[in-house]
Amino acid sequence: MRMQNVVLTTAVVLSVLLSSFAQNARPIPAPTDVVLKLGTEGDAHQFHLGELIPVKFSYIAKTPGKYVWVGQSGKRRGAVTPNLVLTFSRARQPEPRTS
Amino acid sequence: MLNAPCGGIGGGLGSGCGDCDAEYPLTETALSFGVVPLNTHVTFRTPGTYTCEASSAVITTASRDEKIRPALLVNSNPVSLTIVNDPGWAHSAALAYAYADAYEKLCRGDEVAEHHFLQCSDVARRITYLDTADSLAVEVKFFDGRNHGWENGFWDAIQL
Repeated sequence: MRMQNVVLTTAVVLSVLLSSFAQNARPIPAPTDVVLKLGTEGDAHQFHLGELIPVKFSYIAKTPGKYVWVGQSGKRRGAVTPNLVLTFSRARQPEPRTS
Repeated sequence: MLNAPCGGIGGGLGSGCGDCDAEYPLTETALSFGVVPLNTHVTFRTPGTYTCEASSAVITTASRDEKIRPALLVNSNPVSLTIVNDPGWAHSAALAYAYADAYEKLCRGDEVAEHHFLQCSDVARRITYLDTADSLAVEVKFFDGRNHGWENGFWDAIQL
């Protein structure tokens, strides 16, 4: 089955940014022992058009004491790097073959 | 689970974000930011199966004392969302009116109990996200131009 992903929406900027931290610098990919967990309330995966979709997110570090979450709300409006970005892709059904 | 005293993504859900400039050491206990409505940030107009992923750069290994604190880019697990089109559900007058009843009982009048604010915000959002003729009628009915202590979004919806 051929699946074609179409990026519908990228970079939904959800809040403001960091201070000296990462300013004008590209962030470094995080090691695997720190995790950003995204989920829906009640682990629901099916919703109607127009239905409220409650999501939750959390951070976990498998190595305690190594990582710090730094909140910078409101300090750097207009800063370059977003605090949290959501990316959506849509899986399309394969088009029917024509002979 | 440790709950950060921030109102979630963008300070949503009506709670404050007064301490979001704080720093929290991460552990195996999840640092959570509560539940937020995805609809605030994206509207699905077409049914289908979507994959949603989050990424952020608010984690560092550097202490406060360090001059440069490199940010680490963390990507979330993907979450699959199946959006179904059920006109019978969305256009059900009963659904819009059920929300309207709840809003009428809890959220109107001069003295809405403060402990109802979150509930009122939630009901108002559900009405707004419906985005049907019935829900618009409810928004027009309940919009009174006042700030009751929660964001109902009715004016924005009416203007669209």
